[in-house]
Amino acid sequence: MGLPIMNEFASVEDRSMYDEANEHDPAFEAPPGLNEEVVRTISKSKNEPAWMLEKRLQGLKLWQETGFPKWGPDLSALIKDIDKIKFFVQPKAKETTNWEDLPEDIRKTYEKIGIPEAEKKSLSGVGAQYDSEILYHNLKKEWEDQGVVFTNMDVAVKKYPEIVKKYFMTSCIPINDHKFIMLHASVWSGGTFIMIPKNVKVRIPLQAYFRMNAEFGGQFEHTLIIADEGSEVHYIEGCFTEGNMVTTNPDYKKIKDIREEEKVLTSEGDFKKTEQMQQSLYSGDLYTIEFYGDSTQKIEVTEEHPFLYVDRKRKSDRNKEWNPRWNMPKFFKKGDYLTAPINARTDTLETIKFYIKRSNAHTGKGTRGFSYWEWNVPAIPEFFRLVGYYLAEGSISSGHYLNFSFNMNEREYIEDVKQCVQKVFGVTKSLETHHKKNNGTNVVFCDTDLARLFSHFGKGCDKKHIYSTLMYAPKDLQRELIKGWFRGDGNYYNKQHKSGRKELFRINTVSEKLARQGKDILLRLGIVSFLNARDRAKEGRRKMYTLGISGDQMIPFGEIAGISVSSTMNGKKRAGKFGLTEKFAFYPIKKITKRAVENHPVYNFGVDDDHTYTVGGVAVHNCSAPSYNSSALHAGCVELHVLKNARIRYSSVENWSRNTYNLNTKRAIVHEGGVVEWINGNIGSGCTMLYPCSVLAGRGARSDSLGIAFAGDGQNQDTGSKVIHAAPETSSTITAKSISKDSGISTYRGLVKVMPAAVNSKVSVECDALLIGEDSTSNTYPQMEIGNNKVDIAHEATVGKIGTDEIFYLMSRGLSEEEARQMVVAGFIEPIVKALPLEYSVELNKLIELEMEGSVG
Amino acid sequence: MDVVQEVETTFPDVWEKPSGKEVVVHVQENSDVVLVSPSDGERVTILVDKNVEVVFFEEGSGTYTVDILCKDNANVRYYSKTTTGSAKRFCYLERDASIFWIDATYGTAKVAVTSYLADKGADAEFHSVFLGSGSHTFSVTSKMIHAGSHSTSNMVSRAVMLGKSKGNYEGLIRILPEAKGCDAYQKEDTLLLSPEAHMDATPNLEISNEDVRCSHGVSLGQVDDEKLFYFLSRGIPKKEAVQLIVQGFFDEILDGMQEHGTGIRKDILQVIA
Repeated sequence: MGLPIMNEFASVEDRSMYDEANEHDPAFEAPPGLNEEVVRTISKSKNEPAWMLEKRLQGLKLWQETGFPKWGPDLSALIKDIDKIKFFVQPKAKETTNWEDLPEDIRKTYEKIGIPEAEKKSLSGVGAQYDSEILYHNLKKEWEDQGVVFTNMDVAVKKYPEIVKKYFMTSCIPINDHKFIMLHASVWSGGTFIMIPKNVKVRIPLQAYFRMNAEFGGQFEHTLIIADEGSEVHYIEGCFTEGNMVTTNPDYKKIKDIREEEKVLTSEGDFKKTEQMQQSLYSGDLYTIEFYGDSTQKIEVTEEHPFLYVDRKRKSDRNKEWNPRWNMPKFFKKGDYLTAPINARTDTLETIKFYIKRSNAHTGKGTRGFSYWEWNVPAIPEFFRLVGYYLAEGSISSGHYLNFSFNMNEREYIEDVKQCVQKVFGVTKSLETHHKKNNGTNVVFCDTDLARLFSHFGKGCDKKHIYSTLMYAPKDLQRELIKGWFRGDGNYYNKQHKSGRKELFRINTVSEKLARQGKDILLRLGIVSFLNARDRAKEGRRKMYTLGISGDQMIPFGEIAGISVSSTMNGKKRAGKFGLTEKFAFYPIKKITKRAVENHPVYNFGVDDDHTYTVGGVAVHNCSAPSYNSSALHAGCVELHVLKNARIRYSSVENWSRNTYNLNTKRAIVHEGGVVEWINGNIGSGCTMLYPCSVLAGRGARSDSLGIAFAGDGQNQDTGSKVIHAAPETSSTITAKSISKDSGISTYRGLVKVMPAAVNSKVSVECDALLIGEDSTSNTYPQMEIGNNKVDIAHEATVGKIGTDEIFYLMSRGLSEEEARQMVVAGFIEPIVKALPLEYSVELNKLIELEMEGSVG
Repeated sequence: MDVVQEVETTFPDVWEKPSGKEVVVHVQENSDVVLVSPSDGERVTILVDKNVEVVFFEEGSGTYTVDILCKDNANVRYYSKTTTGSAKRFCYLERDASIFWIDATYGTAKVAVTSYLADKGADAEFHSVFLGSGSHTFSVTSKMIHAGSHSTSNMVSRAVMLGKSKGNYEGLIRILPEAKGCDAYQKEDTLLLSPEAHMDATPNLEISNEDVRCSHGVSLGQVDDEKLFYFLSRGIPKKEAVQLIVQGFFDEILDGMQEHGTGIRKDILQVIA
């Protein structure tokens, strides 16, 4: 499957592409609100048997009689809007197993959230739900032949009436279970029905994707999985998959972070090995893609890995219009364009915070040790220009002296440096030394604090980089940085050759990171540059990176550098290879080669590789409901019947949009010797109430539950696990992790009930909570009811913030504060992330990272 | 017992409105043991002055309430035993004040203990033992509410359940947004010695700021097989061995009461004999 090799997944700054609603054009939409007529209409439109209508009407009656829950998160906004919710929306399209049959816009939506066309070939089963209807189902023939049923719930009602009648909202989740189940019973639509026959072990996960599109939408899908005796299945609910899109990430520091997280992943344990064997042995063509704009790297990917792509319109001309679409390497042509998103985040800065180590003796805090002093440096053009000078010509000697080395003739710049230092820091004293031999002038500032401040930008020319805060600075300030840098390290090449005049701007550096950061900043300033590297090992020198600006790109750059460039060249308008819009840069493909591989371990590749890709990944989200300001409601229902010795693993990563109330109910009945495994990631939605429950009804049944909840600003994640031990020798484990950030509230609300009959049972519950930001809240309500004495119960919980020691440790090793925090969080959630299939764990990491973005300061 | 009917002090807002009969105990200087014996329907109000160290021993009956106000830097140890009825205890701690509760609950009883750490540096410890036997039903609620910064609390509870007894333990650590730099811990261990005994345990946490260190733990189970084996291999019969283990399990907490725990120990021995 299309897993990229030696690739680093990058995050996208912007959630908007997932939150966008497609133009909504349904075939049938129930009027807002809920009454008997709506329920009858739903049932009629589905041609349901009478018993199902009866069930729906019972549900409706109960719903009308029952009050809203009075515990847990505040649902008042939802209750206010409840009559506006459209309880049933049927898209125009009909269900199909043929991807091409889907209407264009719906197909686009799915491609956006990551079900590329290619997947139907290699995945065993995929179902896709759009609003309330399943539109697309596919099951590999291999499993079909063995009698595995994987279909739409609506179809199952007609096709397998006896089985559905027996299992649908009866013994597992009865329709009177709670308020939102009553609602679900009356308006449920779509969802998945899976039946695994005796002793069939489905090795590849079955997956379903859900998306809500209508404003005031309601999604009420019903999932019913019956694993017959001795069978095994892994079901994944709603999600992106291997189709992790590849695109450019603007901040190399982040890419580096992600790579290190992946290192953590790969360097660890057994999970990796088995999951990887299952997921990532690839046989087929492997493509190597080179492109203009960055000659320092190649991308190596499998043939079906989708990229954001623009077809070339005319062979010799650059495109005039840029409409990116997803495409796969096997269809790539030389000259077509790869797309790199431009970092759009701009922070308004008044000051920039630096932490400067100061000896306590010096600051009067005592006689020993050091403490950190927060230095707020004004974000003014002079400071940025000075940083530019430092990146090019600066150095720090003995830890106390800040030097700038110029050519003797660059008097103007020498004076500018002095003036900048005076303006920004008020430091007037400096020394000048002259080297006759190499015509150098050295300006030295003897100021320990200054030296320590500039060490944030790297000591030693190959370690130079731009401090991350400055990467998001306003454009006018970044122009000053480029100006200073160019004055030091840049040159203007302008020579008349026989073939014509050759003209370009160049900036040279031996720091790879700086070169890439510079390229990104230039993109923000509307300039596409190209990156070359020259290996100078033979000369005994370090590799040199050159950022070049040529063609039409020279005009805007000339304005920054203060060199006027004519708008024509050799009598013609300046041309250029690259495309540029506000959001993207486009790089033409230089070369594509392919080679066939057999059982290629795609993920082991390149983790140790030192390349950082300009072509990184566009994050692909799962279960994403588009943004509306009004409330949306997801009240799904999942019933798992794990029969004797069967095994179901149910994974879900839920990332609904922020206006969604995710009030989902999940329950499993586990019979003798059966195993159920719940893996949950809750990241999106404004308010979640989700407590997957296992009823251990047969001797020796087991339940393992792993959960992660992330409550960002304004979110309320009320999650937990319930286990009811009703038979002897049953065992359960619950591991719950939560992160609360800013005003987010995360709550673990769990229940472990051991009935008198459940002798010799074992329970272990572990909850850990991490608090980030002063206003964050974390609650833990672990209830335990123990009804016999032959049990072994352990519960542990911890709550805390990220330790300053940990942050200090990582920062002292050269990470920025933000990077350090992200790394600690990544470590915190690792046990959960490890349990997910690899592509999901990468995705979860990315989502968390996206949410963690800018959590410092 | 120094009983003063009127004391001029402003009681904090979180103080419950007085109800029923009221006794005010005003402790102005260090005292060894002050006996508190509230009767049914009584509300005892205790005021401990600044810098005063005092030990209380409570033995009450019926339904009663004890409210304690600890002024700055007061240091209180409060031993209690609850065998019947319903006891409600509340302590309000001002700056650097500390309270050390040790409670033994056996019989059918209901206990609710709340420590309100109102100011900087306040410290509260709650240690308790519960013994359920016969058809006793008890319920213990312990709350630590941190409102002051750098306040610390610790809850350690141990329960042994025999016969058809039913127990319910609910612990809560609540850290308010303004209470920075707090440390809070709670631990609840239960030995279930009878197949018909029932125990519910809910150690809750409500944390509203990031600058905290908090943890809680619960364990429920039988007597450790290895410990039992140790005794058996030394020729001690099983029944006696279990008794010794239970005694040891409780002693770690009751030792804190020093000589005041003697009576309680005797009672417990009788029950488990």
